[in-house]
Amino acid sequence: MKNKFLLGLVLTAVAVFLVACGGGGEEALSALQGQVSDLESQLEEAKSMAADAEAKLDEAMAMGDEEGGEMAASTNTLATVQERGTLLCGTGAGASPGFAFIQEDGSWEGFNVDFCKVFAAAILGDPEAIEPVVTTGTTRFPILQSGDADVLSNNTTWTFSRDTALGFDFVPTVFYDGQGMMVRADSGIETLADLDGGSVCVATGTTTEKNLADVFRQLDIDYEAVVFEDTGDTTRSAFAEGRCDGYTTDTSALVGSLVLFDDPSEVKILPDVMSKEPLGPLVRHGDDNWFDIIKWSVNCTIQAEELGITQANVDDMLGSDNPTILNTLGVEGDLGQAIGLNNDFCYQIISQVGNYGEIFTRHLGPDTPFNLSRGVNAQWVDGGLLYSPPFR
Amino acid sequence: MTAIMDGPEATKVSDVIVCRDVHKWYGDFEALKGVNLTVEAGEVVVILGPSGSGKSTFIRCMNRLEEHQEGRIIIDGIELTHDVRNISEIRREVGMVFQQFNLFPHLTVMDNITLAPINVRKWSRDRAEELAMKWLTRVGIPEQADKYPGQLSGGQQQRVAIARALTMQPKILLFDEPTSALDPEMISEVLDVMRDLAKAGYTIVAVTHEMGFAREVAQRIIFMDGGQIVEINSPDDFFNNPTHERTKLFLSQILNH
Amino acid sequence: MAQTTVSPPGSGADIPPPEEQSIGSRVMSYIFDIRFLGVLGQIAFILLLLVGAQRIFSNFGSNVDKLGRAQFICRDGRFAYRCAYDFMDNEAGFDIDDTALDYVNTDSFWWALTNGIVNTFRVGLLALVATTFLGTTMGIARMSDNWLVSRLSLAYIEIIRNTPILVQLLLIYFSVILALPDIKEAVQPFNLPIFLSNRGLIMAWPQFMSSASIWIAFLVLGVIQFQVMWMFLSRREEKTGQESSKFTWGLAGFLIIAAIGWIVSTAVAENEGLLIPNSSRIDEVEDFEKLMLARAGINHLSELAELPQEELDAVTLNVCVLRESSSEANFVNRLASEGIPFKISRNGSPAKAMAKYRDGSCEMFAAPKSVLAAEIATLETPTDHLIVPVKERPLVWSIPRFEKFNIIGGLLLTPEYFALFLGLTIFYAGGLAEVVRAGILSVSKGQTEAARALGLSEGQRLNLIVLPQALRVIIPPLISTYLSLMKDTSLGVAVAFQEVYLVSQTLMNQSGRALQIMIVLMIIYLSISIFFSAILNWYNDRVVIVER
Ligand SMILES: Nc1ncnc2c1ncn2[C@@H]1O[C@H](COP(=O)(O)OP(=O)(O)OP(=O)(O)O)[C@@H](O)[C@H]1O
Ligand SMILES: N[C@@H](CCC(=O)N[C@@H](CS)C(=O)NCC(=O)O)C(=O)O
Ligand SMILES: [Mg+2]
Repeated sequence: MKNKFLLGLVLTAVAVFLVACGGGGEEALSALQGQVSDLESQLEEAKSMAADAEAKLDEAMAMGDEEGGEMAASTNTLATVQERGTLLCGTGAGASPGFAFIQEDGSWEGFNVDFCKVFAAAILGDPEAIEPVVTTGTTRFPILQSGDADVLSNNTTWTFSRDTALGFDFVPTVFYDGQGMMVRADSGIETLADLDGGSVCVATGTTTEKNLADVFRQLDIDYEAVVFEDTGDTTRSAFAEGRCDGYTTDTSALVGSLVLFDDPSEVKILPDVMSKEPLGPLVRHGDDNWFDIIKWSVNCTIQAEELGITQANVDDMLGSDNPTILNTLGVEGDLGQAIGLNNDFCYQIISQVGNYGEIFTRHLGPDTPFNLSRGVNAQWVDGGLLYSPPFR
Repeated sequence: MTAIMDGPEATKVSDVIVCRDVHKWYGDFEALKGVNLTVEAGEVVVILGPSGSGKSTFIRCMNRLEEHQEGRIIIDGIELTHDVRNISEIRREVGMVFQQFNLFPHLTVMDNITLAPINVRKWSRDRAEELAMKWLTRVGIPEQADKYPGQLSGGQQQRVAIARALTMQPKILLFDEPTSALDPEMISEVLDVMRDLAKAGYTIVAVTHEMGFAREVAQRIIFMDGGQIVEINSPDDFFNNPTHERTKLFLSQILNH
Repeated sequence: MAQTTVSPPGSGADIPPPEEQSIGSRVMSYIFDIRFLGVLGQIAFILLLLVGAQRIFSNFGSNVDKLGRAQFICRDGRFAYRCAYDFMDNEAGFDIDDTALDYVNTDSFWWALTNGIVNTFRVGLLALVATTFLGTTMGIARMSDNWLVSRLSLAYIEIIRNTPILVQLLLIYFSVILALPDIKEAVQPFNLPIFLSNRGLIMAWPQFMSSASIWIAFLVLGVIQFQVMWMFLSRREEKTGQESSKFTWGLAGFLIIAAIGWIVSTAVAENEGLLIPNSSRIDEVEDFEKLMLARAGINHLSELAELPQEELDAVTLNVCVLRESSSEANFVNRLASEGIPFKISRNGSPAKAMAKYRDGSCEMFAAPKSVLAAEIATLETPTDHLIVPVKERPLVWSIPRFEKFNIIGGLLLTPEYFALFLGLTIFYAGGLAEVVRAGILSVSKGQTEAARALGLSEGQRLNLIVLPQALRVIIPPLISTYLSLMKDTSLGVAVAFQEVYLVSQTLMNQSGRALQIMIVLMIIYLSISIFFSAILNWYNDRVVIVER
């Protein structure tokens, strides 16, 4: 009681101080409050992770005694998910507008969240049967590794070492991106080289962090990297407060974050593309069937768009005379069974969530504040990189 | 014998302690209600009185361990005011021995004694140690110099405390019930030392319940009650012909005790 | 020992002899012997430990198997568990900017981790010292007779101790430090070369030149002189009993020796140079003024201020230097003191500076002569260029100055370092204040009275009587405060300060070797803990001996 009172007192005092000093105060304060709760939840998470790890250790020990047999059962993610009735989907910290953002009512929304729904629709027949799991740049991999999430759908870049040494499997990329650099509009910085002597805010544990080092070393630029353990909006807030001259992450995330600025016209994104960032869902290595399920759920959304199957017309399409469509939707053949799902899993995805184009447009398209063009994320037939293998 | 002073003119050069109309309050409680006393150089004065009568308060006012609010206290020609220079000068000239010894437990006997001479009088260590040793010998415990207070008996500790006060070469010595915390055998050790000092001509103001000592050593006895001096008398008259009823009552109580 | 019998005083002889006991009760008395039980307890504990360790190791083993072979690839490409840490030799690839050691992102993971450890101590130890001062001050202030002082420190202590450190830290970082003015409007208190902005605290800082070693040798000599002088005078003092100003004499001697050292090392040093084309007609640094006057067509340097900006830009000297080198500070100070306009181009390596010198974007290159001598040979016509000697002092001030977006030169305390330092200090000082207060209160009133009665001043009383006694009560909780503080440096993760925890997080993510790094991290923090408990035990032992 007393503590709360004192805490309130301090916060009020600081608020008064900030308001008196004018400018940015409120933003800083609310950012701060956000920070605190983020960190707190992270701590909680760390604790539960530790407890979980212990349980895992015990489990592993039991397994060691009994050899292989048990192992298969416990790595059957599909069975685990079906039994649980919900899908644990790692979706970032919920501070990434357009991709995974927590709404005022507490619900999650965004491009990445919709892919969680795609998987839930395919596996459980209900797109709402997802449980978003908060992840950050550094916690995401341990969370997936330990089984606290069944799948990550959080703009993680597909890289060699993550796919191999870290023990993950990446499904087809859902967003082809590149790393970008945001600077203040009035800074006079036009290219990366202009950042010589400046400082750059970046989140730790990311490909971004290493790319920054590589690219700037190549350009022989003297710079200061300010490395944040990002718990949501930390890195961007520090940039917004003036800590850095540049802020770098995936360009898509930069565009998304524009809406978080008081005045988005005060910042700009440089045209330079610093790296290739193929972003897509990933699963633990070792459960091939689970990998197939996630892979083909993504392919379904791409295939459907290519075939012109939409949420609106999918029921009509069930009566199509195109055998490719019929195979895709499971009217003919038994593709679904091969991965332990119902044959209509792709129908469920399209009818309840939509095809790739619909998901993209819904969250990132012209009617959103982001207005991203499809660019390389167009279908191969339109000159893009999206290309689903045939449903045969 | 000197009587209670009634005006500044009456102060003689040889009066080392002059207290005039001293009042002291603890909050609302008046502990000293206008006390007057003059002590000559080389005089030994013993203060008697029932518990709570203000004996300690009075004696502690003389070196500013307590602050008096009204009246004047002049020690060795320096008046006790708020001036810190006066206070520290007076404290240098006035040694005090406490009921609870108050030795510094983290210092050896030798360091206890030489601390103030070195830091206040700014003597060299050699000089301070030499004098300290002299006083330790005089109080009869030269062999204890390197021990810590915790390793000594109560009587030995009090003798160290006396040596500590004396090594500062004070003009005046204040004793506040120096034997009250001691076992009977140790009391005489300490009283012997005090008797010795009285003979050596120190000006001494002592609060004590040792009637034998008072009768033998004191030149005057001061009897206090309720924050006032009730009677000042020579030891003989005090014990044999007390003037005040209050004094008689007090004496009858302690003598029957 | 354990079974002493109480005997009447002065009668040691008539203790009854030990009773003859039956076998059974003898056995029982062995079993219940306190020494036997003690040993038994220890054996049981060790057994438990062994069982626990065995379990952990077998768990560990099976987990390691699950991690897969990729985690244990040796440098030669083979697989072996003992190679679990070979990956640490790989290139780290990420940046650590606020470091005390030299680190570039091409260094190894080991080196990155080492930098993290150094950073942990860099912020922890400074916070430890500051906490001690602030906490002691606050603890004493809390007991002050002055109403305002004691209330203020009470408010501080209560607020600080009753809010979580994480909240305070984020508040300090985001709402105080990052809310400071932008670097362009940096606050410069009293016009000193100190700049405070949301890029941190930047201040002028002394930088040693290569000739400093001579000067430092003289300084050491000065210190020795001081000691000798002090000893000599104290001995004389003790003999004569007369006070002499030991300190003043010692200091005077020290200053004289330091001054001689300064002059000698300035005269002897000839390491610094300036590479410049012959055509510039500069043979010594003093010629710059002439060159400037000729270029600008003016009679006196003070007229430069009246030149329009473009003309000024045109006559400004373009100087190449090596980044953060002491030559930079030396030469910049030189030019600045003569009022010559210049522009500095900082380079990562001599080769890069030489490239700029060749293509003319730098008119000159200031560096140690040895570097220049090697580089001049790489020019097409070395004879067209010469190396002008530049005078140096053993110690030069590196003065911060604006360049493009940032201030360069001087000493930089980054906002992240500063926030963590402040956050730790303010939080732990609050707790320490209470410890100090309890310690001081533990010293009885009688001690204070005795000290006062002896004429000790209030300062002496505090220093000689109260604090030494209070310290025995204060030090054990103080050391555990230090320990918690050191462990809480890991909160650097919340304010982007790359101490060992944040660095190891990055390391785990970039290498994928969570298990290996966790183990290293545990060992590091464990060592810190053990170090502090060792100090605590050592102190406790010592105090006990002194006491009784
Ligand atoms: N610090 C104090 N605050 C309030 N009252 C005090 C304080 N010190 C002493 N007194 C009161 O002043 C009166 C005189 O106290 P003092 O200690 O001088 O008595 P005393 O004659 O020395 O008694 P004793 O023989 O028991 O030592 C007592 O009533 C005592 O309660
Ligand atoms: N695509 C890059 C960068 C991703 C990234 O920067 N993610 C930050 C936000 S900017 C984050 O915290 N994401 C939450 C998460 O990954 O769970 C990568 O995979 O390393
Ligand atoms: Mg008393």
